[in-house]
Amino acid sequence: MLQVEGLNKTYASHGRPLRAVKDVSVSLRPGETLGLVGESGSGKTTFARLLLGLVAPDEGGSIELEGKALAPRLASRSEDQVKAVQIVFQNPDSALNRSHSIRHILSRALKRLGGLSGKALDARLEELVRSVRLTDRHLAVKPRQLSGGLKQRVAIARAFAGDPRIVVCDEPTSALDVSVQAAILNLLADLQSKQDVSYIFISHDLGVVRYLSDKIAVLYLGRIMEFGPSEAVFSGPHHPYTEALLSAVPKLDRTESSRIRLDGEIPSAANPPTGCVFHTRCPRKIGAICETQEPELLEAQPGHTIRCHIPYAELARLQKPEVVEPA
Amino acid sequence: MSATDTPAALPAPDTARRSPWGEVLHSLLRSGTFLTGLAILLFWVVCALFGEHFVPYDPLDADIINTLAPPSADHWFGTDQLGRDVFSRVIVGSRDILTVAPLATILATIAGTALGLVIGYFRGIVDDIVSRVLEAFMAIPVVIIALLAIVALGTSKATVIVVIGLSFAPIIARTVRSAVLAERELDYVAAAKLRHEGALHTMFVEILPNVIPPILVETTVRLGYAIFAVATLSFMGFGIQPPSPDWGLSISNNYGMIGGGFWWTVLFDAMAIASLVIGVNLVADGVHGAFND
Amino acid sequence: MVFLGGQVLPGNVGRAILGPFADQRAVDALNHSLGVDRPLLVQYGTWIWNFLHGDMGTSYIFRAPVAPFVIDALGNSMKLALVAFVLVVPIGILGGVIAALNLNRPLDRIISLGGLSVTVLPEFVTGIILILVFGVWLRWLPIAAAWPKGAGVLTQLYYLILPSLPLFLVLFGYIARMARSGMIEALDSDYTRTAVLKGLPWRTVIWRHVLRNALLPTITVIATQTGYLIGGLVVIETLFRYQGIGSLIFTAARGKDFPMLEAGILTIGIVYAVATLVADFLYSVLNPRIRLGAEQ
Repeated sequence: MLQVEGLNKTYASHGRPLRAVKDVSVSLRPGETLGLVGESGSGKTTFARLLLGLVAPDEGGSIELEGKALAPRLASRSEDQVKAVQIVFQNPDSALNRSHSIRHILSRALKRLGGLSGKALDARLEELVRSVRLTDRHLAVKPRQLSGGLKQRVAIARAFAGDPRIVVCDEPTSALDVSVQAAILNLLADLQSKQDVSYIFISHDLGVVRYLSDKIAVLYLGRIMEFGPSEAVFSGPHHPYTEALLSAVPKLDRTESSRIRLDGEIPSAANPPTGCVFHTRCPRKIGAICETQEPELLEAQPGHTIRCHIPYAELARLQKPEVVEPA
Repeated sequence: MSATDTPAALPAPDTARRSPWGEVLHSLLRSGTFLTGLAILLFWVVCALFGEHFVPYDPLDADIINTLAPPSADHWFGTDQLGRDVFSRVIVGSRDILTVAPLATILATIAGTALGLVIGYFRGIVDDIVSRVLEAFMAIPVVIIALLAIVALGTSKATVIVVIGLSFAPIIARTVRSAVLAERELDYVAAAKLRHEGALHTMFVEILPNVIPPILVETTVRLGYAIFAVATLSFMGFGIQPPSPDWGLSISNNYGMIGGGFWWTVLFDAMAIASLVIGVNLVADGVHGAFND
Repeated sequence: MVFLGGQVLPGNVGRAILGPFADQRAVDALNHSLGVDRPLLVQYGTWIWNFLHGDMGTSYIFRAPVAPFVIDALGNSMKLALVAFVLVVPIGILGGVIAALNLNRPLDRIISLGGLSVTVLPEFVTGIILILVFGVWLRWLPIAAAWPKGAGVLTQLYYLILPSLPLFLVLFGYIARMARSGMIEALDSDYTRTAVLKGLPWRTVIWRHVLRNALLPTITVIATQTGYLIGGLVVIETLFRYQGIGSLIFTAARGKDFPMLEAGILTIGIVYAVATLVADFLYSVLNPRIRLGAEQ
């Protein structure tokens, strides 16, 4: 349903090109969830903004939704296309206008995205509010009178106002208390099962992504390092970067020593390393080739691609002891 | 929690919490600065509105046998060179300045807000050009701008309002612009774009309500400067015109004689201007404090 | 821009000079001899060219070259502004420093609130009150800034004290406030703490480390207030009947004497630009973090 092909975004940073997103291609079917994983600075949020049309990509790439091209700029997309792709932002305090009541926020979305007015709007408003498990008394208030979890429910309701085909969830739980994170994730899963909507779920936390995703794309410095079905990415063999991210997910039975530490910060996209962009921090670097030549994104198994110079079989052999759970 | 949690499990909205505006009002009412300023301002507003009904003499009535009389029981503040009662003139003299200065401030606020919203929201080349022009414009003293404009357009209350309003508009525009620059990066603006809202809706319905506090603060500060400017222009002969008992105008008509010791013809007008300007500045100070706590 | 301002002013120049009853032919002839009937751009080019060569045009009213009037007036205004500045800069900074050293104590309150109050008052209001107090009641100072011909420097100074006081009062508030906040920030900074911990005497710390940094924002204010000062001069010079550039502009504006008006305003524009440059230069000299040229 969604087909993204060769998407690039280059910013100018102090006169130098900054490639925030480089040659990203993904696809998504109705009702599926694509997890987008990476550290901050990996380009996942930029990718989301390209998809939404908030930022125009470089020439060349293409985004197709249900067989029709999505214009690079939001302003030139049709009404249907605009309401088809919506987002739940990371921070509800920024996403909800603090001067407007919840009723105003949701009614406006229903009017613009759902094309509703009058009685029909009121009826749909009630339904929408109930679908995110809020009640009428939450409608009269301003955002600041609600807790973070409730605000995020309002933001989710707004995203669903126009029956979207795709909802981008940009770290929707990272600004919330741990205690309400699970409830929000459950709500999202629940809404998906009822409405057949596709999610693009952005997170730096592989544990959260695993819970919801059918497919996972791992991003590093704007490039896809690994892409494939959720089980394949998790069971391995993985890209060394994915391997490091996975080892950071806490597990009850894992000892601290098996955790792979990534040294230093993610390099600046304005000045990316030569060769494989991950080589400066890669625990499995094999030699000069990593520093001089950027590896291709190769298909390891059908539908599972990895960008690494280490051959697939070799990765499997190297990572074997890691995968075996200690007795 | 599970996927089947019920509405009852969710916390209710916190309606007891005071709204931001309630907070501001609350701290204003506890601010001595604000209340003092407000009392002074209200005194002059009452004088402007109803002064003519309770002053002992008609402020425009000349009494040629009783000119330049010093303060006495009959004429508390004495009389001027035409024998007009200075007390009555000072009380009623608040009217024109309290019409012209607020109107000029309102004009500045409306024009400055619109301009600031547009250049802050669209940024780019329009912002660059307009900001440069505004900067250059602000470097010229208001008195000089006013002088030129009033020579060109002729003296009338409307001219004074337009001139002061438009000279202050860039300053308000600059304040609004910087507030808008911060707001436009927030996600609710992106959400509006994702509803295909027009620029006007985004600027005036989404962003404007959130930049009201700095606008309000700047407006009260500007009101002080507007009073300053109107009084000065009237004193220079380019502002409020005779026969108004306006304070600046009275001083301009009478200060030539103070060498003769007729201090009462100017002192009370000067004190009136001083009290009004300080009163408005106290209010502005209080408002600023209340919004920045 | 100034020139355009002068040109878009309505009113037929010849008509304005000769009055409403003059013969139309006389008006046309005068307009022609003044050159105001030529195209705007030509007038503008000629005007700039001449201005740069010291020829500022001919006054419509005095029918004499503008330049001597402007130069004379500028000199007088400079004297007045100089007296005000010489008084206000040290006293303002001192006030701000004293306030900062007595932060939130009564002395700070008095200086801050007093400074703020006198700053917001129109110059002619403080001027009138000062004239009444020192000129009329106490009779210490002359009420008009018109000294006898050939008066010495001290006599001139004596006449200039009263007119400079309103300017002093307005600027005092600004300068004291900036010096105060610069001082507070400097006192609170790491380098001050380091200096104190090094065991330097308090007095040395203040002089060597704090004061220097407190001065920086003050210089910026002085530069930005030059524009204001020029506006203030128009008012003060009118009030005290002083033959400065402000009253020259004022008289020219009233009489629609455009060459005089334009020359006066362009002159203060140049003064303003020079003052800003000087302040920038001082700022970079005093600021250890910015070197001249390194700014670019």
